[in-house]
Amino acid sequence: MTVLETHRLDVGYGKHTVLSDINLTVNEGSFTALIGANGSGKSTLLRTLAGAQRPLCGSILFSGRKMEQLRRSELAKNLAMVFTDRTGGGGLSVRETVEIGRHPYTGLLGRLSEEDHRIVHEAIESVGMGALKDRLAGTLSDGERQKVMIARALAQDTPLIILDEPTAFLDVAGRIEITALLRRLADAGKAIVLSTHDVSSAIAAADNLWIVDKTARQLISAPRDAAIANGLPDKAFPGLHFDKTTYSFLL
Amino acid sequence: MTRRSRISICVLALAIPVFFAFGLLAGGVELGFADVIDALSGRADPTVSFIVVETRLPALATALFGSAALAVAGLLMQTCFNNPLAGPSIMGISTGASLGVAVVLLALGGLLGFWGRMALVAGAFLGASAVLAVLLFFSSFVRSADILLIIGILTGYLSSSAISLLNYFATENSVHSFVMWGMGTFGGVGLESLPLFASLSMLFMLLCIPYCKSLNAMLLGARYAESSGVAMKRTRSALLAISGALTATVTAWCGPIGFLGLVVPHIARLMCGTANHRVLLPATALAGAVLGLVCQIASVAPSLATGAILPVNAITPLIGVPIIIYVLLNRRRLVYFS
Repeated sequence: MTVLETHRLDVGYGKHTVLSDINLTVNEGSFTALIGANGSGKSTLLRTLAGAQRPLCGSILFSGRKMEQLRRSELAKNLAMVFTDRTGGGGLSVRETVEIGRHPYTGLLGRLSEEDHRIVHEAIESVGMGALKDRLAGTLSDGERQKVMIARALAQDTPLIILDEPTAFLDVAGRIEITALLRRLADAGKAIVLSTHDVSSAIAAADNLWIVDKTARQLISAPRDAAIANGLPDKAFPGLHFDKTTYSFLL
Repeated sequence: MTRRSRISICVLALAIPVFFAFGLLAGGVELGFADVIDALSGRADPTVSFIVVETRLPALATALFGSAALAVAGLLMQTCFNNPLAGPSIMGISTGASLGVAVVLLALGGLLGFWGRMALVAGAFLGASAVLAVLLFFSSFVRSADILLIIGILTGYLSSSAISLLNYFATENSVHSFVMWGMGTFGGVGLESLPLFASLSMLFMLLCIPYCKSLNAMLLGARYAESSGVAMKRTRSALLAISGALTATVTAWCGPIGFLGLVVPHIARLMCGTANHRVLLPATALAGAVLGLVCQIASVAPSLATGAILPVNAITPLIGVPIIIYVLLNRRRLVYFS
């Protein structure tokens, strides 16, 4: 089932188009890696998909419904985001942080039902943070905190999770662990879109690649193996060559 | 709710009647427990009855509701601006209310009857609303909470500048009245105004309850809050409007009371060990009420020996400043703002 589509989408600021004519499809259970150089428009695209800025033209559909027809709370039932930011909320426990994911589903007072509690519990367990659920988020390591934010996105119970550089602050072990976790979530049926500079492990884990060609101001979407076979990753970083055997970029 | 939070809220709730009762005994005229009971049940002589029922009781009730209201306003601002130093006095809202009061006092020449007092209240509301309108205007397109905080501080400077100019042109009586009002007192709300003051304070505090879940999401930052389904612009505007209304209500009747709005949310966090607003909102209101009663008692206690009542604004920094410095120095360890 298709959870996200874009048709002839242009993104940018004011009269400045950063990427144009973007036509994408994301299906459930897929893992997509978005790769491109700094300043190529990755974050602009993700902000536009998240509703934080308006598209210049074209349309975005979540599970067949146009984005502009969705209220903020309805959009939050279709898409959960995980950002790079070192978040605040250090004074909330792991469980309380993950409970924020149930925001779109609870009433005025935010009271959680049995079902909400079960979903929160499962989300915490699925990222392996069950033992720390009562710890204050501010006492956790960066990697543990990012897992909590992924659990919060899972508790939001959306078909699609988009992650914008979620591993930027993490060490190598943390990056690999988070990427493996995302792969497991995709295998369990979630659609995952990951923007990252940790391209080797992201490409290794992904089913599809979105490659930003900064020079042409275009985004190329292709299944991973076909993209690699056609040398498309080379377009992401002009001047570098993608090595098909090690999944890394070389001079 | 954790055991620590439950115990803290119970301790605060129990402290209120204890300090309130103690406050009825404290003041320039020495009264016993029996005198107070007699006065409250209408059996005391008129002098004692006047002291207890018409002076001490309204002042304590004003301290209770006023401090709780300022504390809740401070909590809302600290979360909205994601800044431990945000508060009604820092954001310029108290200064805006002061400007409104200065205009009224200049116009009336410092002479205040009942309608003069009402005009003072209206002036404070208008002044606070003007600053709030500036903040709301900028918050409609400024996303950064830090920049909004700085705009609030700068607006406060503008209000102070306008107050100085007004004082320069004011009569001696007006300046005297304004200086007295500016010292801050919980004794300015008489028994007849107390129901209105208490109702407005309670109403604005109750309006915060439905926002607890959005406030918790806002702790993660604006982007996460939006991603969780919070309509940020609308929510932040509503929360700023409520905190402005709380501040204006208190400032109109009591003068600009500093530090309580800034410090009480930190006391509540330290006591309860959480930043969860479902716990923090009631804990902050209760801690504000307790601290208000303590300040009122400290304000009138010296009068038994010296006959002088200390201004509340001379006492609040003594309690507030050490706590703020402790919180800032231990910001990393306390984790509430990390």
